[in-house]
Amino acid sequence: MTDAGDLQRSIARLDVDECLALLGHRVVGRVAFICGDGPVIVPVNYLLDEGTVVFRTTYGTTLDTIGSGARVAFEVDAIDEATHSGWSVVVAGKAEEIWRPEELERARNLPLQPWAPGDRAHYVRILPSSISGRRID
Amino acid sequence: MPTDRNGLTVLTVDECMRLLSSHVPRVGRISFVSDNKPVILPVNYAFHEGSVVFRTDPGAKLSAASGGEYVAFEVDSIDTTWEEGWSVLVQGRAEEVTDPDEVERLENLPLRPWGPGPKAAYVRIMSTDISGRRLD
Repeated sequence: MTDAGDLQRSIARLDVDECLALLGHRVVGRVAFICGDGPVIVPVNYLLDEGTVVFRTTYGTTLDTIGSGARVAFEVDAIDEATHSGWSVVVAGKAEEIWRPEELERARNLPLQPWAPGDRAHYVRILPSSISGRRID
Repeated sequence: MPTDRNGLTVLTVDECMRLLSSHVPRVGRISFVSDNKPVILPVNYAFHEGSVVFRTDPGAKLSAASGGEYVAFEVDSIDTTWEEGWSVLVQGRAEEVTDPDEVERLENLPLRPWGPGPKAAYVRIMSTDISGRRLD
C-alpha cells in the first residue's frame, strides 16, 4: 500500500569543502563512540579548528573515556521540521585528548562555550579520517 | 531532581518517552558498529507502541542495523542562545519487524526512508536503556 506522496527522498552527496563550510556554521553536534557492547551518542558543543572537530568533556563521564584514540563518528545536521529536508555531515576519525601545553593553551582560547554546565576541563580533538555529507530533499 | 556530573537534570524514562513521541521533526540519529567503528546517520523515526521505529533500504548502510545488533538512537533539541535543551538516548538491539499485522500498522505512519531504493524494511529498537538529560 502506498500513499500518493510516497516519493523516495533524493540524496545528493556533498563534497568535503561543502561539508567543512556547513560544519563551520553550526555549534552542536553528536559524538558516536563504542562503550562496552554497543554504541553511545552524546551531543556536544563543538568548534571546527583547522579542519578538526574540538569539544570539551568532564572528567569521569562516559564521553571522557574516548580521548585516548577511540574511533568516533561525529554528526551535525539541520533538518527542516515541515519538509524533512536538509543536510547531514559526518566526520569519522579518532578522538585524542589535547594534552600538549601549547596546544591546550590554544584550545582554551578558542571560543568554545559549552551549552551545558560541567567542569569540562578536558579538550578533545577528532582527527578526521573521512568527512562526508549529504543533502536530503 | 537528580543531576548528573555535568549538572544537567536527569530525566525519568517516562519523560524520555514523552519527548520521543512528541518531538518534531521526527528525526533522530542512529549509531551502530560496522567494522569495529561507530557509524552515525540521521533517520526519520516514529515512536510506535513504545518503541523507536525507522525504515531502512535493503543494501543501504543502515540495513546493517536490523539483525539484532546493538544500536544507539539519539534525539535532541538544543538552543544554544538560551542555553537550554534536552537530549534522549535509546540503547538496545535493532530488529526487523516481520509480523505482517504489525507491518500493516506501521504502514499508516508517516515514515519514509531517505534515499532511492525499493520498498524498505521496518526496524524496531528493542531498548535496554532509555535515558535523557535536560538543561533549563
